Amino acid sequence: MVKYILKRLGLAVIILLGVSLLIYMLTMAMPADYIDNQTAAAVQSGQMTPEDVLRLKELYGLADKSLPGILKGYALWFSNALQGDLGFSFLYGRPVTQVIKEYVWISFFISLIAYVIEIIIAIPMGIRAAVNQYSGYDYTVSVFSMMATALPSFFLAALLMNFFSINLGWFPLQGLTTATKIFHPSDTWGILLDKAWHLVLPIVTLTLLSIGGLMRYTRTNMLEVMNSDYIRTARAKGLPEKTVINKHAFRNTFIPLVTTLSGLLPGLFSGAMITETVFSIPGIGSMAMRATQQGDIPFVMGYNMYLAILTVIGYLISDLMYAVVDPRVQISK
Amino acid sequence: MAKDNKNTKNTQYLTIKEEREIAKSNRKIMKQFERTKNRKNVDESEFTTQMHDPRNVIEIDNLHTYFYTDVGTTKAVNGVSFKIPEGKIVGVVGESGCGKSVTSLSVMQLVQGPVGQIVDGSIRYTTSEGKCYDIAKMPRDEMRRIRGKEIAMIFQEPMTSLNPVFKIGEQLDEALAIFEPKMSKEEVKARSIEMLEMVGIADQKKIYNNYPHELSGGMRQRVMIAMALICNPRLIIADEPTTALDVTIQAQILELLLEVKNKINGSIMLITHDLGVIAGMADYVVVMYAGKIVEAGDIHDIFKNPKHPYTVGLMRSLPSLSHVATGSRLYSIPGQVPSPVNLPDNCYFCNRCEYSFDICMEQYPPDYYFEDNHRAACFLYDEKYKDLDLVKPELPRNMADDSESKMVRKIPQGRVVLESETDRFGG
Amino acid sequence: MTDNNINLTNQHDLNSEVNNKTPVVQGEMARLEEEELAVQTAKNFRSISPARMVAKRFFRSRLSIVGLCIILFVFLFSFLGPVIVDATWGYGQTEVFKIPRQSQLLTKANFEGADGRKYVYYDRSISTVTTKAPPSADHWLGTDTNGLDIFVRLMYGGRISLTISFLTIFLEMILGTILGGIAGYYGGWVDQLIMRIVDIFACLPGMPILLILSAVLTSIEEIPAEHRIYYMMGFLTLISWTGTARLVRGQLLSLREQEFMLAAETTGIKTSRKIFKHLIPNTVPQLIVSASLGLGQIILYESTLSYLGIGVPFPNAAWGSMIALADPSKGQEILAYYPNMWLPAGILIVMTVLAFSFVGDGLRDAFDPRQKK
Repeated sequence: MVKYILKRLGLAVIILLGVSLLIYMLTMAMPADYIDNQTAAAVQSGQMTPEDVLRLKELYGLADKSLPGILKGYALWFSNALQGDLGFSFLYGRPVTQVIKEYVWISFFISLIAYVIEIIIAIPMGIRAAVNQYSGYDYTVSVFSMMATALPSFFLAALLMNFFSINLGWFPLQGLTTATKIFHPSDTWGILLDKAWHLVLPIVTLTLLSIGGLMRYTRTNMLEVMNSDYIRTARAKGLPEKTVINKHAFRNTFIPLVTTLSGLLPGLFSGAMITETVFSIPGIGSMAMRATQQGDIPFVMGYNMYLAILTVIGYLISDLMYAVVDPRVQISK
Repeated sequence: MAKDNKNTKNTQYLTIKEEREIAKSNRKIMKQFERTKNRKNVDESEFTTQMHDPRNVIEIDNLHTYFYTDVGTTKAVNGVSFKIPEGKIVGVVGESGCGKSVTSLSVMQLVQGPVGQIVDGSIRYTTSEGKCYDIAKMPRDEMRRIRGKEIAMIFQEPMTSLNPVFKIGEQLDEALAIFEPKMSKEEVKARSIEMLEMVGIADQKKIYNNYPHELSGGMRQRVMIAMALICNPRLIIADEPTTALDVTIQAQILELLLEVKNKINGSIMLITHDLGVIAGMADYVVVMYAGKIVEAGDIHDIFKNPKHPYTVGLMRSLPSLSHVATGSRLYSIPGQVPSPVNLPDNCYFCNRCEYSFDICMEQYPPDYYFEDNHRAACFLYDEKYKDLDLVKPELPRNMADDSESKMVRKIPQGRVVLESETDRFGG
Repeated sequence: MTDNNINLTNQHDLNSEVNNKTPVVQGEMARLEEEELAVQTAKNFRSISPARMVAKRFFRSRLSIVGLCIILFVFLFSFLGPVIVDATWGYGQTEVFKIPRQSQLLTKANFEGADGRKYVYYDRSISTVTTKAPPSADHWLGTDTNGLDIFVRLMYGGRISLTISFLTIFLEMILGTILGGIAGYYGGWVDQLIMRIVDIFACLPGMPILLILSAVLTSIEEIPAEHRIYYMMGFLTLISWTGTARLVRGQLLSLREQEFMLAAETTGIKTSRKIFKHLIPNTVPQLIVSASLGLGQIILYESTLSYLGIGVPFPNAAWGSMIALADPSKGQEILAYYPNMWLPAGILIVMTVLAFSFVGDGLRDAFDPRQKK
């Protein structure tokens, strides 16, 4: 088991090395970086000379755009990253890690709630659809789940905002706090409730976007299991249909579900760029969007690396969970 | 009740419109059947009947099981009648796709719904409490009284028939726990281990805690047998129990079946395509072809004096030493089982039959009876055509002598437990 | 057929002599009978070619027909539509229409006067606007904030979406099949190397990387703005080919183990022949299915890029950028009062993506009926 984990970890390190090099080279190719943007006016008015700008860039390792220069810069960046230093964000004026740490929680909160709701709704519905294959219920669930996967996030957000915020006025349109309301600092509940109120639509959006996939996944797996020989055996034994489905069939469907769902867990920390931006939620996703648009190279680099690490961890968890939940998998390689 | 397929013309393709019609009528029929089957709290009188002969465990009468597929109605079982007397073994033989397995699944009401449905006929069964039920009419909920406790089934594929994620012990225990709710956990476990011992598993306590994938095919089939027998059923249906196993293991499993049958004094419905297995085990034989019984009778009658050309063909296609001696080619029945969709009105076997004559192409033969319930559905035995001087099928002389004893797959005496069978995969 | 008929009559002649048979004749007879049976089975059975079988199974599903119809409609709408509009109305996606109409705005304010009394201040301003025309006979869906005809722009948007998605999926399939094929066929270190590359590319965060790339592209002045989207799609191919490569590799690995490959091996055929004649054709059904499901995903990607303003550049139309008009950060007016500007584009996206998944699903069931029992 230890050997297996070590092997997977080694593989993860190799992948991360490759990914980070690629991302670094890409971000370095970004032209209009933040320094240029910020100093443009100063240079124009003669307050700064182009040499000053170059010096500033050198300071951040952004000056040399030749291949050896980039590689040198990468080496520097990487050795810093190993020590937990992802650089200093120009736009936010703080270390990248600190920005991530501060803004990730709101993103995580939204994603986590959407994830939980998604599981609670999608899995039972998928199972019911599979058990009643060809029924009207099955048909409805299938079409609904396909429709949910066909929705672009920004369009769904626009629909929800139009209907629930503008027409019905139930939920606020954007942001995280009501600007017109002033809460007493000690009114923690009031502040939290106000925030939660603002997060309802983003959570609904995220849930709807991901629910269709999980529903279909559950249904397909359950169907496969329901048609297998051991389900027939379980029925032949005289088990009640409830036991057959909830115990024998579900325990087998459970394996792919757990592996996939656990692999998604790290992704909850990655933030939803589009949804957060549309709803103006100050989460890590919308922060990254702004940074990218403004050419904040260190932040973009750090954030993308952070995403890659989350993905790799997801794969690792998924592999490990597979070994945990499926008794047929024996790790002795 | 059974709606005949509208499309009996011998056209090459179904048009989309025709398919739509089929699908539409199928949906309607299936829905109706499913609704009747899914009813709750049905009055018991609705599916209680009377046995025709109390000495029988089960009487299958004019059973029709159809599959409403997209290309038309597949008549997998099309009017099958036979009975299994108490304590006897009835062998059901036939090529693949002739409806053997569907017959057995119908008895358990395990036909894959909603596509497959028991359309007509009755399956009369007397429970150990002395009540007689018609399984064909039983609603799904009530079937639990029968399955496992009264009739148990052993499946063809031991590799896939055990749930891969539960330990052997758990799968054995749960079967018993349902029917014996008063038993404590320890008692149930003790009984399970006892059953494992009975089916010849040496290291029962270890196997009890193993997962199915850690056992070999033969061991799994033993576990399946143990699972089938744990509630002392009166009838065991063994659906090709040895087909997926090694030849050496096959004999052991068959011997084990015989042995446990005697221990629990049950009856067996043995389904196989291997006449050798039947010859060694069965008391009665039922030969099926394209969803119908073509010949049935006592084991000796069938083997010494087969009547139907199909039965004779099956026997001639068995390899034996005589082929080596005479240098003759091994016989095979030409062609294949006709597609069970849109079956013709004539004898289903006639286009594969060397002995067929005019009438065979025109209508389906009725059953003709010989001595001791030996019957065959073949016009060759019709008194009307006696003067035609028809050639009747016969076994080649060297086989007819003592065909039965020659074909018997010798079952070794004494139980052999192979320790090496417990080998683990990838361990 | 005639040959067989002759055979048949011969067979009947033979039948009459059958009775004093010797074992050798028997074997011969069995063979002849088999031939006869082949003729008879041909008559009795409904035989059907595999391609037709797939087509039949595909058309049996109502959803796949619906999907196909929608795709057909969207295609006609976006490729034939502009041509017709150009011929009849005589304009395209960039013509600005100034349709003057009066817009009334009533502002009300309460305030306290110097005399301590309460006053209500009314301001009724009537202004003439020339854009954002409501739907009319001339402009079926009205005009947008720039006075461009929305209905016509939908057509052009569809054109770009469909072109790009087919282009991208095509490139993706080629790249994925070649690399996955090499990995799956040769195995060993080649496989290891390619699969690690696949792993690395699969770990790249898609959307952020595309955002970076778009910034890079904007800076390169040699690339005209209209072409940027094609480069973007090229990059999208680079990010998304990994799925196809994995699929092809997995298929090849499992196919290699199968008996028919062993049979091909024993005949001693060339490697290239083995790959192209025996292995790749077996992966085609899976590829077609994944391509048709992937098309929808690429449309989603393209519309997201356009929504963010880094896809198809203005004044060219794209479904995504049409929805972007409703972005509440730029004011709620359009989101609230002008659904004609963004709703149809969104509906078209959903319809198209949905249609591709219906068709993909139908194809999967048609190719592999076991999946759907």
